[in-house]
Amino acid sequence: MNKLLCLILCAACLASASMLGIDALGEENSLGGMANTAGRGFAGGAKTGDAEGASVVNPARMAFDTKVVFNLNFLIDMTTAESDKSTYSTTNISLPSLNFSFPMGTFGAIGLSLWQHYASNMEEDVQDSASRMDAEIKYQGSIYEIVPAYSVRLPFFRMMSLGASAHFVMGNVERSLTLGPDNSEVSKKDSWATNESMVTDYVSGTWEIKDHPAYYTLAMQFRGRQSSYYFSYTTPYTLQNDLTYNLRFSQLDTLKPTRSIREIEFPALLATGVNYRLYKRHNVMMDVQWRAWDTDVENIAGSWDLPKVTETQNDFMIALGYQRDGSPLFYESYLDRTTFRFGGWMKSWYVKDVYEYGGSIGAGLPMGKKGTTIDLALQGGKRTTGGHGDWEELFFGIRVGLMGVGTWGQTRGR
Amino acid sequence: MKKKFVLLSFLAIGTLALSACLFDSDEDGLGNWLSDQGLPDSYKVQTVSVDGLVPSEVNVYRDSTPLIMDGRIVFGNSANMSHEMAFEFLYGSKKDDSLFLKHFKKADTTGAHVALYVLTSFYKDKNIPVELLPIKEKLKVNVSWKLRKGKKKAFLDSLYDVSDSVWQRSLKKWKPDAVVDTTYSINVKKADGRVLFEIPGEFLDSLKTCHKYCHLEMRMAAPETENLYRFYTLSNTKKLASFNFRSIDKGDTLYKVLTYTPYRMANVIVNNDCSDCLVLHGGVKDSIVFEYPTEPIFEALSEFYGDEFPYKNGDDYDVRQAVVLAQLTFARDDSKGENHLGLPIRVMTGSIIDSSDKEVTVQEFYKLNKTDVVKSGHKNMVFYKGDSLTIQVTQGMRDFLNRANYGAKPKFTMFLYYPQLQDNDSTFKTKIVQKDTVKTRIVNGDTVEMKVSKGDTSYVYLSHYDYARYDFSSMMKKPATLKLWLATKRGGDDE
Repeated sequence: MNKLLCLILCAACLASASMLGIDALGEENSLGGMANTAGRGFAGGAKTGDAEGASVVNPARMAFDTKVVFNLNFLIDMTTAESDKSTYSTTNISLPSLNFSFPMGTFGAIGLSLWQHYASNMEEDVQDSASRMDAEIKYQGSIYEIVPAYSVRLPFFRMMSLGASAHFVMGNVERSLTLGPDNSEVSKKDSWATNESMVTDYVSGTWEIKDHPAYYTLAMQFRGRQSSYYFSYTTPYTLQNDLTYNLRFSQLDTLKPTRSIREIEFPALLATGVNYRLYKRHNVMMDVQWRAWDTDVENIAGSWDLPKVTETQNDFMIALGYQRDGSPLFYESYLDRTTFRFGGWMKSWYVKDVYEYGGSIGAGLPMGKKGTTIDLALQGGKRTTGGHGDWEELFFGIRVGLMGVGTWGQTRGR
Repeated sequence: MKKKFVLLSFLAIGTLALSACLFDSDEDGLGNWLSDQGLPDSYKVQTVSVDGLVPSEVNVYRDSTPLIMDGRIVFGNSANMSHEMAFEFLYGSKKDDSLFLKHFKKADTTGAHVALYVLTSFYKDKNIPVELLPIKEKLKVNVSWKLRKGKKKAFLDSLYDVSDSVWQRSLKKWKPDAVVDTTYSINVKKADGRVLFEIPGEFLDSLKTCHKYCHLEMRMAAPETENLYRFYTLSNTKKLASFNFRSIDKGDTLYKVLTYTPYRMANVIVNNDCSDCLVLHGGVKDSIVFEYPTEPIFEALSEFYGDEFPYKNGDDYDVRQAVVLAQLTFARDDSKGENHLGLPIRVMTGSIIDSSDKEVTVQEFYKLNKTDVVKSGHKNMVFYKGDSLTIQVTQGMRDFLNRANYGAKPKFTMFLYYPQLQDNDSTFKTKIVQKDTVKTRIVNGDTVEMKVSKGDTSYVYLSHYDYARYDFSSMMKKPATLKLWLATKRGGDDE
């Protein structure tokens, strides 16, 4: 475990995931980027069990859990952007979410998640072919959400549960471009003036929800003998990004910063899913998420040749998955106790013309008697980018989820 | 546990292999990606010239506060300015004082003189191309003094508590007990000589009224001389300035002598130029402050960019360019100025900018144009070949363009700095000379050859001021040119 943490810490300084939408919000970590969900192609929002844990889209599901679940997720992600001419790759390690759920029997269940909803991360040095000066490009942004949730099964209609969660948004964003001079428009006798003059275009800001403390998700879950369904609605909200930007000559020699506020109107999110139990411990599932963007996303800061806005499209995701649950009986063989999953998804990003196709396989490896599990998922796929300079992205990711399970507060035989 | 590590190792190896094969970047991959996204890998530099700038306001600030001189002092006149010497002595601070005073009061013959060593480092400086010595003259000096007496130690202690600034202020309101005019024959032949100023007899009489403790302030002025003497004061222990008392009785063969080092010394400056003349003096804290109207600069920039300047974006102002370098070039005419050491003098520049709603002066950096410096020397010097003065005002203009919409004004300041020795040397650093060279300097129309030997240290500046005078009035009347090197964030299609 120490080694793993060490690896994560060492690699945390590496550059990032998808470079798409880096000037807008960054890449979305769908469904909290949980390793178990990712293993079945991001499907399975409707799947109930005794230790499924918190879900940021379907807070109602927790009510059917019987065990306390603590879940920590890591993602090692490699992305390569390709065009006809060239390729460019980055590797990234991130921690998309931390989740905790606490079932309280008839009193329902409470949950708490820390979710890095959107992230942009990039730090690169590039040599300008004209001046041979090193430019430094840095993007670092995260929109974090703290999501407390509550769900409860209906008193007489026990196969139904209702859940609600509030998303408190925070985070920051920074873009720093340290550049050398391009003297092509300056006469030769005047070029001395820019010798060793690096200029940094620096933007930084913080995230919050405009005029409101949080946005909310309401969900309803039905658990049938064979089929389970959920439906969730997330309220629309406006994210506010307070930015200050200026040109810096050194950390001490800066200009009076200019302030600006960008507001991003997030439309409501509708999500639904179904889980069908084919056979004992064998499940197939399908999830659909839909968020109809109707305004463009203003970019972090315009100028240079960067566009002022990132055009949006309907943010839609359809996911299909399969899972064979591991046997809960300790005396069964290890393979029998292991959960196996696979799935695939198609997602249209909030960024116009960006479509993602991905597939994944995963396993939940039980550790010890108490139900502690390491979830592993391997995912891969492709993002096509239409109008984005004919670049497309290939991605490959390894997700590791550490799930601790306990039976606090549960009486025997329940 | 073992299983986990095996698994993790496999994962790590797999990841590495994958990233090496599948996820590889080619050399220009990142650069191509950045340029396709519209991200820059350099900032575009553009130059804009604004001609015909005439200041809307010019002021000369003269600081007449006496200068505390711990290391060296000047005495006499130079370039329309008188430099007077002020001394402060605390008598009674030494053990032998009262014994000596007893004798001094009764003695048949008494005398006193001030001894000052000439500033050897200046008079011997090989870098000065003019003849400094000998100086021979009948020097008319006006000696004035003020004596306060005390009987108790507390009197002396209270004098130690007087801070420099309080003493400086008191010198400005100088009301002496007595003033005596006297004449000295001065003949300084050598750079390590000494000048003795015999103190008039009237002073000795007043000194005899002294009690146990005495506070003596003395001032010497030589308003008529044409020379400026430079002396050591208090920092060179071998060449300390001193006040020497002597007394002798009839029949004695040896004088009783008491030598005193001044507690403090100062130069009191008397400026004989008209108060509103745009004249700066070297060696003192004079500065000229000038401000330009904003309109011509705004006009030039909006013409250059083809839109309004400052540019308003929504409710806010968008500063889309920054000044990488700014230069102001004036027409220069040295003929009304006066320098004495035959060396060019550096003009230092500062900008007056806003810092948390307070005006502060920042000293401007100086960026070297090496090829130009080697060819025609630094452009920020006066008393040098050429007919223009170019100063760099980068920080000031940077601040001005950034705050233009908040009512900032381009406001700058200049003062005369030390004479420059490396006038056309691209290094601009103290260095060791690598080979014997002969440097020619033009002093008052004559060419003077200066030999520089291998192994000598070449300094950027002379370590002594030229107490020169420079008239900036024609420079401020004639239109100046502002040249800006701008880093722009503006893209090609964006605007």
